[in-house]
Amino acid sequence: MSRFAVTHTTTYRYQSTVSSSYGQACLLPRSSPEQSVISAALTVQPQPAHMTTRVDAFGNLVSYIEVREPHQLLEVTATSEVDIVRPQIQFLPAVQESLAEARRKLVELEAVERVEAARFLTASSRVPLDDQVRNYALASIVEDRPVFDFIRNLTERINSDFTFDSSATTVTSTIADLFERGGGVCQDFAHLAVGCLRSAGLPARYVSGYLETFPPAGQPKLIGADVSHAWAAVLIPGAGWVNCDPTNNQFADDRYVTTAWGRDYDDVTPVKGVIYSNGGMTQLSVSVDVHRIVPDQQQPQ
Amino acid sequence: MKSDWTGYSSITFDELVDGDGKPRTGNEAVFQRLADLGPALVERQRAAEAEIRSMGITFTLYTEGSSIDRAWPIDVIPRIITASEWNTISGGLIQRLKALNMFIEDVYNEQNVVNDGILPAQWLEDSANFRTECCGVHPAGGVWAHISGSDLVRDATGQMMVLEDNLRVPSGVSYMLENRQISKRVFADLFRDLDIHPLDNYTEELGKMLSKLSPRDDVEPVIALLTPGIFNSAYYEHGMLATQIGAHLVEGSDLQVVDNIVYMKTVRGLVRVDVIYRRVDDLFLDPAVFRSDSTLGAAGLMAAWRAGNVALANAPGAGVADDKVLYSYVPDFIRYYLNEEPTLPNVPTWRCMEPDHRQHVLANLDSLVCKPANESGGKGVTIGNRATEEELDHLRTEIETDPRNWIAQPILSLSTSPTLCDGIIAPRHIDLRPFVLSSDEPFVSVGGLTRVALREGSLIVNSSQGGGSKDTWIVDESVRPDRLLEHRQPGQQQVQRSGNGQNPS
Repeated sequence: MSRFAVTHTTTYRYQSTVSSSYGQACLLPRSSPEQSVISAALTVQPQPAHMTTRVDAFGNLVSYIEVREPHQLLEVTATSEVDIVRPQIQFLPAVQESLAEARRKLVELEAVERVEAARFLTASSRVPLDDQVRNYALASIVEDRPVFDFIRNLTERINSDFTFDSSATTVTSTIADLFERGGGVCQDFAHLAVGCLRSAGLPARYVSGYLETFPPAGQPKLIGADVSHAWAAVLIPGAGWVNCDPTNNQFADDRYVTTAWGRDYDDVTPVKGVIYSNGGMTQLSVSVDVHRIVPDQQQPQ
Repeated sequence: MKSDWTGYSSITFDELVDGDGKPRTGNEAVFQRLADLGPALVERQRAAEAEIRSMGITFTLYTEGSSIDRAWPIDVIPRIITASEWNTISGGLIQRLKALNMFIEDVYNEQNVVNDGILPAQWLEDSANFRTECCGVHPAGGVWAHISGSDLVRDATGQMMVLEDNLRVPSGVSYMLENRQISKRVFADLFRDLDIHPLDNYTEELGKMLSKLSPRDDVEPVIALLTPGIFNSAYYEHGMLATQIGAHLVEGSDLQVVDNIVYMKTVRGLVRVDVIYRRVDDLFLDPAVFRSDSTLGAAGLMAAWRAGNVALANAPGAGVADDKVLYSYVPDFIRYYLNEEPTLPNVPTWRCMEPDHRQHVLANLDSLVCKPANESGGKGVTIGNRATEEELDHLRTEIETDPRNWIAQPILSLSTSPTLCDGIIAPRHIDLRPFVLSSDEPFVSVGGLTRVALREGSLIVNSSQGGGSKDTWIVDESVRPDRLLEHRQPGQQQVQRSGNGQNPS
């Protein structure tokens, strides 16, 4: 088991004074079979006039934030502590069944699970199931080979075919942009993986969260130097949702903290909203710290 | 001078006369009076057009960049429906809307309709108007589509059926009301002598229904009609309805959310709004939730609605069943939710994503109407027997590429109604859009907006594509023409119909 303390701060600096700001944040971690949330809190500066958190259609925690105090700096901070225990995927018998068998077994799921799965089978706003995506997936699809091999092969290919390049794409980039530029970030890789998994007939989610990182050898880990992360999860009947990370070419293990999941990025956008001001530039900075802690040992806050 | 009518005949079911040119049962009195007018009918038409200009009734065509307002085209010859048939139709609409509202409430909450296998989950997820942002919300009374306008057509056999449901922001009701104002002026004599059911109680019922939605029961509710503004094609209607129901006509910039409560900005400061009759599409309602570039809505509106601090009519997400694939399941929804057989049938519909349906459609493109699942106003519709070979090839590719987005229906020979075309009475195809107000006391407009395709042979009645309109008369068939004189003797007290909208049974 791993326990992490996560701090995620999003800061907006405005050139001219903002009179009011209305937005929503999807930053509080959700519980899942692999993750228990020990504590989670969202703070906003300046103090919001109104803030409520609800459970959205996918089970994520979404907070509505209304700030009406004039401000030039808006800071949204999510802090949480979570415990993570993930199974070793390759030892689950269900993933060794063929892709065709995994797909066939989807229809045998309980009605509620089947309905839940259907939501993640179809194209969504950021994940088109077009020829480009289908053709890319095709090279990994072998119907009578274990479904585990398919997922691993797909994850490997995306990792090696595209370079990690944060200058290649933006948050609004499409899968087509990723193909055109040959590079992108975790969001783009995850979208492509989700599209390929869906076009193979398997339900796939886009997952947002964090990954524990390590500093270069011999250097101390810097506070706030981590980043938010995204990957894909695919439903294998009998094995549950299997999390795979094409950006790092691996299956998710105890180092992966889940915030939220949805059909694609648009369902789990960390912070979005509108501001009322006289214009001017907005400067955005994000700081993330994923800190491993030893359970039952009080941490200084 | 009845010669104008002697040559009148329709190739399909005509609303006024039967195959022998005789008035249908219940239409005799109106037919007689229209025929008696002879050439004077044309004068009435001119009078109606003059009224439209002086009243300033306009609508907007987006394709005409320069002049945005056009005079509303009305044909003066009324469309007649007998009171007994209307009873059946309005009962069928109430049944349909009850099931549709139960469906919408269900898909945003328990989703039993999907879990029980009535509707495949994927078709729901693929509906362009299914808004996950609305999941978990329970609007008061389980009503999502408070105001709807379903389009009805009659086929060659005379069967009335539902062509589509409009559960988002249906428009046209003001034209229904204005058409009546005009025909009352130009046919004052017929309104005096015949028993034509009044329809102006619609706005009263609308105001009552909206007031009941107010989350505050200790104060007089403040109702606002949210319009996208003067460039919207239905702006005329927004202004007219706001005036008639005593609502404030507001644009998004007039609203402000403070502490999760919606206010409008007035010269006397902020005034709390209880009910918003919104004529702005879902995706523009709240830039903090939907399109962040929208200036037509108010930031924070969705959170205030979700918290129950303001009522939105129609509720966001109500358009989920406007998807034409989901439309094809409405008869199943009526059976599932109400355990009743539908009174008003659907037009038979093939769903292209089902392989056997698709096969049939692709093999019979030239004899079907193909429609995109999520468009409105007749956009993207291809009528097989009027399309070129190229258009059909293009359609075939589109259906094969994205079958979920296509449905097909038989080419209906819509019923006709006599229409004045350049001074000659000729049959023109029509449809009917009645308006339904859903609440614990549902109400159906007495009649509806009859739209008419003014071009000969055309089946496209949409006013955005050059269609016109007619007043719709619900006429009591018990009044026989030969009884008219004794029925309305001068000085005799006229029977007043109460304005509660209940049809006589």
